[in-house]
Amino acid sequence: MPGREAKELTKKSRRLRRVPYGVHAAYGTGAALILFGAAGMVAESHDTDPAGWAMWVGGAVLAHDLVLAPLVLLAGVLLGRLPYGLREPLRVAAIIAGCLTVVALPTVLGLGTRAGDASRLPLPYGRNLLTVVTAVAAAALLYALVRHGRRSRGRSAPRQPRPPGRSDFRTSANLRTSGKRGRGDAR
Amino acid sequence: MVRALHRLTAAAAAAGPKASSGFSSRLHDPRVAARLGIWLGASFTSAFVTGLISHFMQQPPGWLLWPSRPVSLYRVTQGLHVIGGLATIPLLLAKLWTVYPKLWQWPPVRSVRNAARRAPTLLLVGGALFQLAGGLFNIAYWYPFPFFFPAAHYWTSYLVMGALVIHVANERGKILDSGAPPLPERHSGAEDGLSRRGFFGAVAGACGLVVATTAGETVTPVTGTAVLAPRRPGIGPQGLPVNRTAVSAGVVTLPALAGGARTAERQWRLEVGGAVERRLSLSLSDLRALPRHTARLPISCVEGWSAEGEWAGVRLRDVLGRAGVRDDATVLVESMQRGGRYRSSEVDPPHWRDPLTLLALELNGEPLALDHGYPCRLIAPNRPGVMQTKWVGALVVR
Repeated sequence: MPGREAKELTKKSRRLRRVPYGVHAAYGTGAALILFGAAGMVAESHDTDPAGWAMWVGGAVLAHDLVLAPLVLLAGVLLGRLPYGLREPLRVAAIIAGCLTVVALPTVLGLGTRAGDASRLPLPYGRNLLTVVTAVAAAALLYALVRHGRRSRGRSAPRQPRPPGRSDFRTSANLRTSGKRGRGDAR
Repeated sequence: MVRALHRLTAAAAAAGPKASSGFSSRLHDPRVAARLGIWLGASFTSAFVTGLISHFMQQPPGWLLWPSRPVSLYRVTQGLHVIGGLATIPLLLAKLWTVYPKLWQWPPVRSVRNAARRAPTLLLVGGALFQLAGGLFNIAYWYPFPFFFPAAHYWTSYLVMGALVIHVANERGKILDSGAPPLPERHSGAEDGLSRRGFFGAVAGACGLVVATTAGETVTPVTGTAVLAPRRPGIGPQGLPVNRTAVSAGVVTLPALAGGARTAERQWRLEVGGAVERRLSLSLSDLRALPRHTARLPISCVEGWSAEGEWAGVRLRDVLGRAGVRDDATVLVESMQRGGRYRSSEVDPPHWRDPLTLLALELNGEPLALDHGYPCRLIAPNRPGVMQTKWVGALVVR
């Protein structure tokens, strides 16, 4: 029914037209906050060192976009070359261990230790990080092993045969590609 | 307007992550990004609010009087700020990875509108990375920056929140969409990356593990699990961590440490002056002769850690009562430190009138260790650690 369709469309466009009031308020609030922050940054420039600040903000963006993110993509590609049953558990483990390493890195490097204050960074952080990361990797491998065992048993049963290396995914796309290698999160 | 919006949506769809063909994971997806964005929005808002609490506790505007209770309010808000901030790091990294293909859109700017949209995003991304990386370095006591961290962190928070509000307004459609039932997992064709559930599980696991390995530096019942925290309650002189040692504060020199403590004790005086009825000059034995009180209070550091101690000494209000001060007086507690931003701190009426606020002489049953402010330090409930002035030499009433 074209009449009803048109009505629906008008309703939709009216809804779309109604939204911007809130949006404009948000733009105004956001701009006000940014102006206030910038004004404070300039007013306290003896403390905030705006030029140094801008270098650090820009540096943070570049360090993430040009160093960290490509490294993560590379890790994704490498993990994509693992045997199929290991890929998912080890990707999860790599995300967890990688994030933990980033968070722990400044303490592990111990750049903030100071002679005369033993209560500052008092723990063996390198060893502790290694222990936690090893535990995460071990848990992932154990999970993969248990799942593999369950799969193999499932395969030997006469009913519901499963193709080798099928993952948990609920899609047929995976069935088609399960044999493919070398496709990670990026190429 | 509507047509412009439609055009914009169409452009966004065409420019969507899938359009840049190099990225094969189905997780470079607006819904995934929106879901992570909602969590990020919540955690950044929490950090903003708790950060403002900390800032205005340290630099209260004239009209604002913080209450001295609940005793551990600052401990909780600052713990939330720092541990929550650490847990935000995996969230932010996951979100940036999800939208990473959009960074390489070509051409980088399609229209004025597009530029107006991307500029706040750049500020948001840069500011968010700056806040989290800066905070992380700061709690690890690594200060490679040219600016005073608290000031830069404080003013940047307004920039980030402003950019965040604009970003939420821009992406409202995707945010509302993210609650809808998920698209079928195979919509992007053949790939074998993580499932959406696996990805969210991994990110949640990373956030959880970050919290599990750090929160014990302030949540004392689980101290032992804080294997990656920069502080361990219980490690330090008299079982309490130290932020500023007597040597680094310049209160004593190393040779003085070797011998002269007893002489210094005889010479030490607490001078009480300013707007008082009678000036006082109290020796250590004068203070010890006053009624002795104990209080179990935490040192709650702005860096997120906290540790409790059993403090004993005289009530600040008892000393001020002897000097005779107005009920609404403000007290400046001055350290013997020669300089430094935190050489003195202001104590407002709610705090100095609180019976738990002590001029402490003992910690955990012993005279204060030199690094904890010997011979006399301020300890008060619901107060940042940098304002628990050590090596007190004078009270100036205003």
